[in-house]
Amino acid sequence: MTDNNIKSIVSEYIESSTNITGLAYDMDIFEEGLVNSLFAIELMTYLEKEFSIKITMDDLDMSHFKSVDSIAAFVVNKK
Amino acid sequence: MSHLSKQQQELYSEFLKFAKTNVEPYANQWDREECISRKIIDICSEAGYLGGTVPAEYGGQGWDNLTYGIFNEAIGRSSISLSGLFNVHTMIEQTILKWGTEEQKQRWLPFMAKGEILGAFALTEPEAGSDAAGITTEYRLDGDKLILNGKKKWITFGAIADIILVFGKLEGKPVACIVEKNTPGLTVTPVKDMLGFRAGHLAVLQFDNCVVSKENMIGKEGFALNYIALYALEFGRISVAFSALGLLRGCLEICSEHVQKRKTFDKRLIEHGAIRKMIADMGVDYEAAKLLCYNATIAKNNHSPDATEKVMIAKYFTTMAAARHSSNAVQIMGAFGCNESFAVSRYYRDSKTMEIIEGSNEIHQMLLGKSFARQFGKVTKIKDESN
Ligand SMILES: Cc1cc2nc3c(=O)[nH]c(=O)nc-3n(C[C@H](O)[C@H](O)[C@H](O)COP(=O)(O)OP(=O)(O)OC[C@H]3O[C@@H](n4cnc5c(N)ncnc54)[C@H](O)[C@@H]3O)c2cc1C
Repeated sequence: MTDNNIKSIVSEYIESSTNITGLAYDMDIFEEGLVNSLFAIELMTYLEKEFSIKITMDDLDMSHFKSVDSIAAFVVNKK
Repeated sequence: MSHLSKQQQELYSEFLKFAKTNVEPYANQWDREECISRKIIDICSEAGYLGGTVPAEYGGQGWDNLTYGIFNEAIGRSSISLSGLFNVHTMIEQTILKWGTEEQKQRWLPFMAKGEILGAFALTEPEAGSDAAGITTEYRLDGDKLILNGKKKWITFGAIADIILVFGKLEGKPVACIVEKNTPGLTVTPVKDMLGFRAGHLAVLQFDNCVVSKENMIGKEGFALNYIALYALEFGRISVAFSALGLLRGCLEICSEHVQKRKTFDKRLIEHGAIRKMIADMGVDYEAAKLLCYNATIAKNNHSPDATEKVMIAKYFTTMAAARHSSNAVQIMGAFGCNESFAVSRYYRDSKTMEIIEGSNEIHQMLLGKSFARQFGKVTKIKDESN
């Protein structure tokens, strides 16, 4: 799976929960107040399922999840 | 019932039968005595219900969220106090499962699934409830140990739990550790005279220089409130929403029978418009609440991004409906409804309490209000064209 594929899957997931139609891949979704930490947990569970990765407490560094770009980089790194 | 698979329908029948046989006949007595008996906990353990949501590899049943929900509905219909046990015990199991290390999972989960170890969740303090960030319970590092000081209040099944997930702060950062009941310095005082959940073994827990191994910390420092507590509370909300649904069903069953038998002014109660309206509204809200509860747990099963919101909606709607209709149920039953020998008076007290726990109505209004405004409001941020 390419980096761009991952980005488009992740951005679609975030968009479906935030009513945003074109999410900038580098936008900090937490800083913009678009999502909260409960969404982050849901997102992590979704990433685990969608990309067959295991996210542990050690990965709980919000910089991994702050934007579509960083989430994609995190997933690629985990795979 | 169409939302349930054939297996879930069979399980629901099993749960209802179990509750009608083992719970319903004793629920009023437990309530009066302010004590769920050890016997019913053992019976539930033998049936595997204490490990309902725990995966088979740790000795559980591996139920999905909807199955866990309908289990709570069946138990809640008979005893809200008993549903409190599954609520808090499951919260701890799920916390360990999600955030624990493999050693922690092996150490606790197989025993919790068998009901040999009971868990409780200790977040609230005398001075901090809705505003959980205000907790003052403190962990202090001392070599490779943690020293715990503080006080927790209103802890469901805290009076008989074997392990307690205790939230506190370590150098200002929120942490959560498993504390065993026989830890020196821990004083457990049962709380009596509650309005609802009277048999739920609530307790005040006082921690005076309790030594806790660092290996008992779940997750890492700084994440205990926003991640661990919120994640656990979502399972709590599922339990409360579905058990309120069971309570609503109980009201409907008891009242429906009564209004068809009881006569006033030469007519059965159901012939009076005012009574018929109350039954109609009760039935409509039961159906609506059921759909919201099912929908929420299906969303959670699918890891849908709006699962958290749907669970909140289900909890908010169902507990409010349960409180409103249990009050009407007392009205419909007349003096019978005011007597402790009848379940509706217990339902009435329990349902009010359910509007406060696992995030009060007002906290739900605060979060859901903001969330709906965000969801349906216009958002101007758009993707950079170069992406
Ligand atoms: C039966 C029962 C079982 C419980 N079990 C547990 C348990 O197992 N573990 C545990 O940790 N805790 C438990 N609790 C505690 C429960 O979680 C708290 O009671 C709840 O969080 C509310 O906190 P509080 O009672 O301190 O009320 P407060 O936070 O003091 O709130 C008082 C009132 O003000 C409202 N309010 C607060 N903030 C706002 C706001 N910003 N805007 C509008 N209104 C607001 C609240 O909705 C409430 O109506 C239990 C409580 C009960 C009654």
